[in-house]
This record gives sequence, structure tokens and C-alpha cells, in this order.
Amino acid sequence: MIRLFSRSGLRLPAQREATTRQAIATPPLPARLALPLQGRQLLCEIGQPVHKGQCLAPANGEFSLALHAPTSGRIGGLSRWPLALPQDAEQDCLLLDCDGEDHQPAQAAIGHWQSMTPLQLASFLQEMGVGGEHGPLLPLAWAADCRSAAQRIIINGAQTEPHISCDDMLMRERAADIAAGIGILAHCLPEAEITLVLNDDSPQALAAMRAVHAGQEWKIQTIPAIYPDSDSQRLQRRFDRAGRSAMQTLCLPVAGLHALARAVLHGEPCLSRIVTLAGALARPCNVDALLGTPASHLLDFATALPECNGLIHGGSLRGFALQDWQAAIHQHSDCLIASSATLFPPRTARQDCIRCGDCSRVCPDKLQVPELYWHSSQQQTDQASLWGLADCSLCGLCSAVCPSQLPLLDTLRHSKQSMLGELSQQQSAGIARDRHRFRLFRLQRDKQEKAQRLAERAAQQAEKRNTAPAESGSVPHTTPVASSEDKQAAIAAAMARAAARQMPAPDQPASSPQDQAREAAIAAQRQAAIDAAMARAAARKANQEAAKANRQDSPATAEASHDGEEDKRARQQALIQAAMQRAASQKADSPTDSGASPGLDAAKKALIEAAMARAAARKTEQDSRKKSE
Amino acid sequence: MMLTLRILLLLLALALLAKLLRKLPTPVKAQAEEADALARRIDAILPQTQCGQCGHPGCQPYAEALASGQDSINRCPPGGEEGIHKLAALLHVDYQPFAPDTPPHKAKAVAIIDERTCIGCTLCIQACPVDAILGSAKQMHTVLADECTGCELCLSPCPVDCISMRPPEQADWRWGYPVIAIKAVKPESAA
Repeated sequence: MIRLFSRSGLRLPAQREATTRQAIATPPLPARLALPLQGRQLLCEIGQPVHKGQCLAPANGEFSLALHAPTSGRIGGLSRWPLALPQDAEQDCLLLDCDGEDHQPAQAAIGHWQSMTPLQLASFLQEMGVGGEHGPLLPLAWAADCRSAAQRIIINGAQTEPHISCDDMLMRERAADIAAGIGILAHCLPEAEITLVLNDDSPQALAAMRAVHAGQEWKIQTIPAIYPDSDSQRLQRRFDRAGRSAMQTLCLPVAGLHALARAVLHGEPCLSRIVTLAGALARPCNVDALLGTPASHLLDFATALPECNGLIHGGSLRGFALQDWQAAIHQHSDCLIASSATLFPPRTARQDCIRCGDCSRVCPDKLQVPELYWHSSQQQTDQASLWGLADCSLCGLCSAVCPSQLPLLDTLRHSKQSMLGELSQQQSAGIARDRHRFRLFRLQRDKQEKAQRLAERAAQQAEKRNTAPAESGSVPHTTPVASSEDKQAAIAAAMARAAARQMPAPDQPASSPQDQAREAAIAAQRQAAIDAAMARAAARKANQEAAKANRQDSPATAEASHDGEEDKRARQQALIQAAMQRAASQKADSPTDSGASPGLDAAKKALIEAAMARAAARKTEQDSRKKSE
Repeated sequence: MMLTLRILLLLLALALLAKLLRKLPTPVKAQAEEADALARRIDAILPQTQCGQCGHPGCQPYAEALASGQDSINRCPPGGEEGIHKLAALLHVDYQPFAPDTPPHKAKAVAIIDERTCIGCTLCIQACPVDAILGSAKQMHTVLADECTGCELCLSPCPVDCISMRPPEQADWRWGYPVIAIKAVKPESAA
């Protein structure tokens, strides 16, 4: 291999001669297609016959594409099926049993495409299943505000990875469609600067595109075929550097432009893609393969040679081996290589890094690959990211040039994946932190609101109590009702209240001095009962506190606690005496002398006295009446 | 002359001293701020599952306990060994293996509610530390899988045991760790 080290990257042998010798072939229909569902909602039922181009599932998000039946047949079922992805990732797939008729109803072009806005065009392409690098060919967010800034659109027809020739063949054979697609895009975005980029090592494709380019506004530019300069990111950077102006750059694959033209001008949804079949095959070629075709079916079509020992999906640098050859091809399957011992000699035993520096010299991103490899193989992702792991474009050149046969690309891929995984984990941890904080805040807020509500209600009730029962003269006292004595006191008070309310009723009009005296007596009795109850409650409380203090105190401080207890008892006695004195003084003030009897007897006596007074009054009335008679 | 020079020098020294003193913050306040900042950095490392397996009611209290030196770094099972290494590096202490009384480390899982069994008691909603369960009284509940941290705090309150833990659905394929397949070679074929 001739190594021509350029400023960055490497000029590699294209190895396209075998696959570009014959025209794009159409393989026979496979028996079954596997179409990944990717969370989309099904529009068809299992067992239902479908025709070619029928929409099976609509797009369900910004980066999703509608799914169409690539050929006519019957929906065979839903199951996990391997896709042509690393590790043979199994996904939920819709299985379509082909009937071999390829029946398709007549389709018509959409007539109004000239009046479409970029956003309408983008969503139309999404409905037609025309994909780009990430999701729909024209990103919806870009299409929504692409008129706000100057746009540069790069149509990427350059392919520099060895063995891949699908875009080359597409441009050679279907240049007219591609030109029509670019024309539609240019009509939709008249002010955009559109450039078709080609490699300088494919003169046939260049000639074909030049033939249809006549009279068009867009430009054709060739770039040297240096790997990996044809990657979209590197192309964008190259144009941004050259333009030196603040323009938004969008890079589109040339196959997408072809599908765009077919969708807009012929109403055909995107059902197939060109796949290069290369390597140890009897008939290496490019095929127009339906999406969802098993890789083994294409391999059978190209007739694998007996020395074929594996199947590689992708180019010879970045490709990965498929374990299950039944894996279905998808929108991004550009190449299948039947590997053999001569094509890819088995790796010799891995040796240690000899620090030759070839990998760093060849790296297009100018990274220190030995350091990256060391930290990545030790799974020290944070250290590796300090050495610029995020900038690695995973082109695989370092693996290709490593004399020690180290699996640099695989290690860096794994490391980069785990770095991204850690990043997303950190993001979700941040979200969880915010949600937890908000929950704590919410609980606190709810508690405060509840307390405020309760306080407001209590204030309202207190106000009502103060205003309403003022004229009735009986303010309900709330005494702590805990023991039988307290209860008795409360009952006495209630009875006294009831008596006070009932007695004035018969002789309300004349409130004699006797009545007033009776009322005063009752009030005094009640007050005495209440005072006694309160004194008792205070005594009980003091007792409890003393007991608690006793329990808590250690033997060392027993004496001190004893003193404290004595104090408390003395205080308690004083309280009781004060209460009794108060009661006695009130009784002395009142005209009726009922002695020092408990509340119930006092109330009874008061009642009796009142009754006697009433009787005496009645007697005097009768006497006076008799006298008058 | 010498006297004026001396006075000038003295004044200069005093001014410098005053400036220096003003720059020095009060030690108590500085310590509190430092502990706060450290707790924040520790909290950034903790996995925010809010599971309470460390014995604290959340990741933030554990971070505060670590910042004030009241707890050891080997009490967070969801953080795994890697978390202990990170905490050790941040706090300048030696790595310690998991404490024997901490629950074992488990792979990340997501709670899922069997909606046929759920009676709508709202107990799990009250238990969830990140409000990742939706539902209301006597209505079916469901877990927001994206927000679930896998803390398993909703499992025990459920009166009908309708919540189970499942591995999260992997949205995308992953590049695995590079493994070189070992092929069995028969002695006959080798010869």
C-alpha cells in the first residue's frame, strides 16, 4: 500500500473497479422483509395484504420517518429481528411476506411543488420516508427557519472509504434524477448556495453530472479523494473555512436528492437504496435493494465465493462484521463486503504499543491516539476525554496503520459510547435532582398553605363567637375535661347555664331584685366550680411534670430533684388555696349563703332558693289580693 | 529627614496591614461556605436516585454528611465502585470497599405498575421521591419511565404488590467492549 501522508487523512486505494464494471442490478424479491418499527404506530393489521408503497406507519416525531411497504405482500407479524447494526442489535420489526407480484397502484406527481415552502417540502419528505443522515433528509427545525439566514447546502457525492461505490454508481446512472432533485431544492430555496461535491478520482460520475448541469445555477466542485475528507462534518468545516462568512451549512447525501426527486416528481416513497456488494464474490456489483432485505439474500444474489469467511457491513475501515447474516439492511447500509483471508488477513496476535506515532501522524483530528488508547482500554473515560476523545471522528485510520494490530477503533468507539452514556446519565441525574428538590419545596408549600388555612378558619370562628353569643350572656368556657371530677364540674356548669337560660323564661317581663340575686348566685357558683376545676387541672399537671422530672433525673441529682418536687408541691398547694379563697370571696359577696359545698349541691340549693323566693312572692300577691277582696 | 521617612514607612506598613486584614474573611463564615461548596460538588457525583440506602433521606443530606465528615464514602450502592473512587478522589481519602451493611449494588432498573392489579391507593405516589408516578385516588397509576430513578421506594408501600422492577428499555444499540473471539481449534485440523 502506498502511503501518501497529507496534511491530515490518507489517500487510500478506492478499490471500486470490480463493483463499478456493471450497471446497478435489481436482485429478485426476497421471501420476507424485516422493517424496524422504532416506536411508530402501525396503520395495518397482521395478516392484512398491502400493496407496494402503502404507508404502514406514520412518522412519530421530529427525527422519525414514515414507513412504507417496499413491495406488495401480506403482513406476516411482529417480532424481534436482527438489523444490520453492530452487535446484531435486535429490534421490534414488522415482517412483510412478499407475494412476488410487486403490485403497485398508479402514482402521480404532486402538482403544486413549485409553491411549497421549505417546511412543507421537509414534512412531505418525512411522509415519503426520504431520509438523510439523521432522520428526515431536510431537518424540520432547519426548514422552519432556513429563510432567516444565508444558507449553504452541500450535496455530498464524495465517497473515499475503500470498496464503497454506491454514490458513484448512482451519479453515473441516475444523474438526471439527482439534477432534478437539486433543481427542486434550488427552486424552494432560491437564495441558497448549493454545491455538489465530487471526488476527483471518479471521472465518469463527474462527466455524467456535468452533462446534466448545463444551465443550472448550482455549482460542481471536486475535492481530492483523501479519506476521511468526504465525511459531512469535515466537508462542512472545509466550506466554512473557505467561505469565511456566517452562513448556515447543511450537508445532504446525494442518494437523498435522488429519492427527493422520485418522491416529488413521481410520487414514489423511498423504498430502496443502492448497496455495494464487494469482496470475495463471483459478481461484485451495486444493487438496488429494498429496505429490510436480509443481507444473506443479497449475498446469494452476488454468489459468494467459497473462500468467503465473513460479512462486513460498511466500508473496509469503519465496517463491522455481521454475526447473523439474516440481518436486515436499512437506510444507512451502503456496502456489504464478503471478507476473505486474502482481502482481510487475520490479525496476528495483538502486541503492545511500540510508540511509533503512526496513528497520531495519520489522525485527521490531530489527537494523541496512544494516550487515548491507553486511557480508553483502562476504562478511564474522564482521562480519555481530557485527551480529546469527544473530538475523535472514529474514522478508523489509526487502526489501519497500527503496526501492533491494536484494536484502536473498537476501543475508541466503546470509550466514546460510554462517555456519551455517562453524559446522558449525568443529565438524567440533574433532572432527578431538580424533581426531588421541587417535591421537597412542594411538600413544604402545601404544609404552609394548610397551616394558613387552619389559622384563617380559627380566626373566623373566634370572631363569630365573640359577636354572636354576647347578648345571650353565656360564654362557653372550655375546660380540659379529663377526669371524673372535671366532668362533674363541667356538668354542674352546664346545668347552671341551662337553669339560667330556663328560669327567666316564665317571668321575663318582671325582673325582680330576687331574680337578679338568683342569677348572681348562680354565676358565682359556676365561677367557683370553674376555678376549682382549673386548680385541680393545674395540680394534676404539676404532678405529671414532677413524675417526669423524677424519671429523667439520675440518682446523682436525686436530692436536687427532690427539692424541685417540694417546690412544685408548695406551688401547687398555693394555687389550690388561691383558687379556694377566690371562690370563698365570691360566695361571701353573693347574698345567698350556701356554705362550702360542691358545685352540684350549690346549684340545687340555688334552684330551691329561687323557687322559695318565687313561692313567697306568689304568697304575698295572694295575700294582697285577699286583703283587697 | 530620617524621621519623616520612618513615619512614611510606618504609615505604608499600616496601610498594607489594613488592606491585608480586610481581605481576610471571617473564618466561621468561610468554613460554612467551603462546606457548602464541597457538599455541592459531592452532590454532583452522587447518582441522585434519592433511594435512602445510605441511611440519609436523599442524596443532598448524604452529601452534607460527607462534607462535614460525619459519614463514610462507601454507603451509596447505586453509585457503584466508580462512585466510591470519584468520592475518594474528591475528598482526598483512600478508597474503601462497600460497607458490609449496605445493600448490594444493582443494575439500573425502572419500576413498572401492573395496571390490572393496581387499586389506585396513591401510596406509591406519596412514596416516590421524584414525582415519577402519575395517578389519583381510585384511578390507575403509571410510572414515567424516563423520570424513574429505580430507587424501589414505591415497592414496599404497595398493598397489592403490583409494582415490579424491570431493566430499562435500551433506546439504542451500543458498541460493546472489543472482544476477540476465541475459536476452538481441533488438533486434527491443526495437524
